[in-house]
Amino acid sequence: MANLEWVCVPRCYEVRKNRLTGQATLEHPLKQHTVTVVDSNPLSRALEGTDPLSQFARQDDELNDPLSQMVTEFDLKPKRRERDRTEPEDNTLQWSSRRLGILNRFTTNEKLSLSTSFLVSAGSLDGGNESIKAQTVVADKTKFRLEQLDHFDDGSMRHMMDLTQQEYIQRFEQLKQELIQSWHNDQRVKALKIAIQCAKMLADTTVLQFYPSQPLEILPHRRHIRAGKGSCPGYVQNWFYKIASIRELLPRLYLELSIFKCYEFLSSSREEYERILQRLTHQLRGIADPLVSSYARCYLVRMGVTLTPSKTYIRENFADLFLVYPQIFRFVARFNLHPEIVTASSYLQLYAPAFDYMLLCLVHKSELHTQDILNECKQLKNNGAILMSVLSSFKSEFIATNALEFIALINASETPGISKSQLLRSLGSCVSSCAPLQEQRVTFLKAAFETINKLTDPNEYINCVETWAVFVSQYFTINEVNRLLGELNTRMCLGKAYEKHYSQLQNILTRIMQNYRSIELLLIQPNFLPYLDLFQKESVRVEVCKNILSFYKQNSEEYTCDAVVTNALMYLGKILNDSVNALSVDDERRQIAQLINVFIHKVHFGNDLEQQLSFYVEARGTFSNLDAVYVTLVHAACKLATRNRSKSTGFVKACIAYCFITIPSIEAVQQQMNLYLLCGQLALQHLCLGQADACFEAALQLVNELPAATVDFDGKPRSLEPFLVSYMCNILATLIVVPDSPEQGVLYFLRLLLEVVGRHKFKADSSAPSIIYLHSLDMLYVQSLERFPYHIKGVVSNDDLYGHDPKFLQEVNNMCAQVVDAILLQLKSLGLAQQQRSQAELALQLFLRIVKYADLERETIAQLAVNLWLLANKAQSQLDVKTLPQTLRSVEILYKQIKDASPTRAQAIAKLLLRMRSS
Amino acid sequence: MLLGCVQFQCAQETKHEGIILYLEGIVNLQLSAKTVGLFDAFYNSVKPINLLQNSLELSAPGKLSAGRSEFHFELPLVCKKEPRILYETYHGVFINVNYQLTCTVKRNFLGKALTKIQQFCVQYKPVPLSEDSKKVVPFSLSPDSLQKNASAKERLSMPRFLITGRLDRSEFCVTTPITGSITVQHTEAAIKSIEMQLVRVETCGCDEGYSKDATEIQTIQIADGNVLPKLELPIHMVLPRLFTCPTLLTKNFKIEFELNLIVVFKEDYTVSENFKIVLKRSAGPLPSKVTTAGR
Repeated sequence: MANLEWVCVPRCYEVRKNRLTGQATLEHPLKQHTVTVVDSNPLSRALEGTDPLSQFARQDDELNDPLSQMVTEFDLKPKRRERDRTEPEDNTLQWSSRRLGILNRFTTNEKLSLSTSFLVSAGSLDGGNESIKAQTVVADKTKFRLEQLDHFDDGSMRHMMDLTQQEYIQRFEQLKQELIQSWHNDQRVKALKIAIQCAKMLADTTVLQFYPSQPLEILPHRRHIRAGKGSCPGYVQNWFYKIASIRELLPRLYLELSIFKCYEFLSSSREEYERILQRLTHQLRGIADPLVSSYARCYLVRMGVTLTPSKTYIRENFADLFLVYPQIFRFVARFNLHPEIVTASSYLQLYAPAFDYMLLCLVHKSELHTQDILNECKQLKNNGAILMSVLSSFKSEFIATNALEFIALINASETPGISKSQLLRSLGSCVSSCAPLQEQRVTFLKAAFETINKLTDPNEYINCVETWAVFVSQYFTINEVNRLLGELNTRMCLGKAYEKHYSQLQNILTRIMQNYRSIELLLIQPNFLPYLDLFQKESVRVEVCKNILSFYKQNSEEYTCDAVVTNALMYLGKILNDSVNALSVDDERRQIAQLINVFIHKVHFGNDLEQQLSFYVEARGTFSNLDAVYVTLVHAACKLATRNRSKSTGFVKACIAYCFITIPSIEAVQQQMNLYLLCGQLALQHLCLGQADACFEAALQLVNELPAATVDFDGKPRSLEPFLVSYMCNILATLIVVPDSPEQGVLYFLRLLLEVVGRHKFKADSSAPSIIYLHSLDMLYVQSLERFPYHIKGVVSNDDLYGHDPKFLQEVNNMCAQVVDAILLQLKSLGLAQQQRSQAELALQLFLRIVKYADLERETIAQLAVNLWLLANKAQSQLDVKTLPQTLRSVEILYKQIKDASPTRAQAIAKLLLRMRSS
Repeated sequence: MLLGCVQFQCAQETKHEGIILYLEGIVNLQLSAKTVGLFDAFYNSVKPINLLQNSLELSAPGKLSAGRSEFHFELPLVCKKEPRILYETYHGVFINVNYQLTCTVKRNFLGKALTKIQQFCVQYKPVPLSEDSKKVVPFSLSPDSLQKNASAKERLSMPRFLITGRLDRSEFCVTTPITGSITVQHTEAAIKSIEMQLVRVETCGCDEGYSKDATEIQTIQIADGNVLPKLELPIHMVLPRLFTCPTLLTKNFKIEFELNLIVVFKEDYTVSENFKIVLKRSAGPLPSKVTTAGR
């Protein structure tokens, strides 16, 4: 069927567009409907007066913190008792949450020794008991028990040496199990003995580092005793008697404390509790080792808060503690002489959890004693350790109001083992969360930094500054921040101190950025970029730059035109760009590129388009490693071109030239093609025909470089053919309005496109080339029309250019014939490949186009149409049921449409229909 | 008056030859071989003193019906002869004051009699402590105050120390803890531990052959380690219920109590001070062991 004679017929019907009718709406159509059920629980209503849910909602509207609201709601509870119950709850919660932290902090590699009689095998234990029995003459059971209590430590004691911490804890777990078991087996005496032993172990301070962990391990175990106790008062009284006869002080106190709650059964008055607590407090004075007694006091407080909200006994504990306090430093002095056992500072650290917890309980919901404690603190010699705990436990509001006092205290404090830097660090974090009064701030800061700057050890220095950074950046001017940065620069450069403190330096920067209002102001500080130079290690540096840029992304103003800011950001971006290499992961690239893109979008010079473009040029030079940035730059340049308001096309040309130069540097062919097309369209829009041509040509030339498939995000290969098809359709639609260039022949680009498509290697049996051909046919048909359906303003398209010249039409018809030939070839190969269904569909598509576009009066064309129809009918069984009738119907509609305008053509169609029916 | 009830649980009807309750209160005295000599101990062993002897027939010979049968009884608790008073229940080493109720079911000559013994406690009615006993008992320990039998040389070689303190009173009630305080004023040698020991002093017999023994009841640690000087440490000792009773002075025997304050120094030096205390019952019993011991 070579050399098909194709003649395009003019369109003789109106093209109507059926637009969808819009409808104004207030809600997003895709938004899901939610049904709000209003809780109408009568109980809660009775409690609160109003519906609690709606109250929540209302208060939320008032921008209340939901948490604080919860608190107030708790307070509103009519029953006071209930509140009392919640109070200790949050304290104990705190304790259990602390527990893990403390356990992790205070660990040891030293061997622990554990002496106990309960881990020996049952047999020998029984033997031991029997011998005791033989000795005891007194038949009385209780007497026997008491004897046993006294005997057990020299009876069947076994020392277990060289345990690691893990084993140690395991042993305790074992003991605990034993304890519970013996309790349940009614061997209460044994349970008590185990408890006493545990408590005894608390007196063992040989391995100091582990001490704070010990009570935590041991204490929970004895709670079971309490849990097991019945509520019978006589029974409980009996237990108290038993405990009161324990010989050693520490176990006696610990055990009494552990069942302290049982006093509930004996008396209910609060005064009674307080009296007992006070007595215990005084009894604790008998424990000489300050560490042991501190933890015992801590335990006392812990048990106390669950029963009484009174703070007096805690206060007394502190009074005693302050008396014993100098004792601690006698130990400290000893450890200073023997640092091989434990260093003084780490020894003092051991006290911290106990002090912290006690102070916390003291100030929990009560302001009564804060001032007292502070005053006593002042009078204390070596007050560092307690001050430290005060800073970490007291409310920051209190600290803020007394900030000047605190700083004076710290400056005066000369505690061995607790450096000023530690204290300042804590103070820093306190004032960061709640600043002192406005008028005090400057003096306060001055006083603080006087001391901080005196610190000689860079480690101490940086640790201090780390917490102060927030305060400074939040409450002071940029000058102050700049000065801080400058100070850091000089301090950290000394002896390359920065090398060891990257994380702190990083933290400081993050905090400053988080808290300082304007990131732009920060960027232009003279000390800012030098600060970055402190990060000499490549990976850290990159991390820091990323961080800054992401802060910039979040916090900056919408646009910036400050040259210094842009320069600084360029500098950061450059560092990031340089860090990207062949080994970088895709995700890393994407992140960096995204950050830089944000920055590029934010740079905006207003109406100074030239400067903007030159910025883009600079950016292109700087960010040479990042595809995505180039893409952004091209888009940005295109956008810039559209903002051009002047008559001359010079600037637009410059923009497009910029794009044209930039695009080839992008690696992804797909991106390049898209961008070329975009630029081409843009150029066309601005009447830069030469550049448009160049762009289109470049785009088409790239088609053959397009890989068959790309790798998806999931790692699956994805065929690029759908992309190619849609891209070609897009370009075909554009080409309609592109006027032929005088240097090239008629419809040069279409020829080029067809040639490229012909050369491109598609997948076997792919329908892609046929679709492109079909659309080329559409495009050609449009070319044959007297007036194109759309134009670009100012561009003289082919319809005007050739003025419907017959020679041009002949050319078009020839090309149509070629395209149809190509499609027929496709049909044939489909037939050979047994692809009946797609063959039939393609045939129908072509059939429709012939009916619409071609002159059916020509016998060859009509014959072709009939043949195609027959071909499609052969595969009728494989097609959709509706396909053939619909095709037929659309032919009939066409017939009706043109019946009046062109009777001859209608005649031809009618004839064709007849032939179709007859065959 | 002792009130009670005896319960029988029989599977079937049972014959018996009478059910009798015996009430008995005895002071058992024993001379210790240590103080009197073995020989004396054998011969002079003091006769137990009968405080109470009473019996009551709950039922004449007959039958107990199947199921549960109860006999309620009331017995007067009165000492008719010398010393005309019922002492408090007390369990010591050489002296025991014991009260018991024995229920015996006699059976025909083939069957053995069934008996069940139940001890019970006797306590005085509370009497208030005398006014002058509320005076504080101060004390102080120093090398000079130590036993005079240490030679002057020995005393010189001793480390110097001064420990002062007080007992809140000289008479205590058995149901309330012994309280007081102690303060280490200064000490040259480090203290290892301060302990308070409760001691009973039991005296048996009268003029010619008597024995006096002090034995420990309990020791309680007051201070552990070298406590801070000038810090007042509380003394708080709960008295064990079964091993204490109000101080008892009779013709035949005495039960007295003493406190020993023991200070142990680092080099295992021990210094002690002795206090005589009088125990009385001035307050009613706390919910006590009596209620649980019977079960």
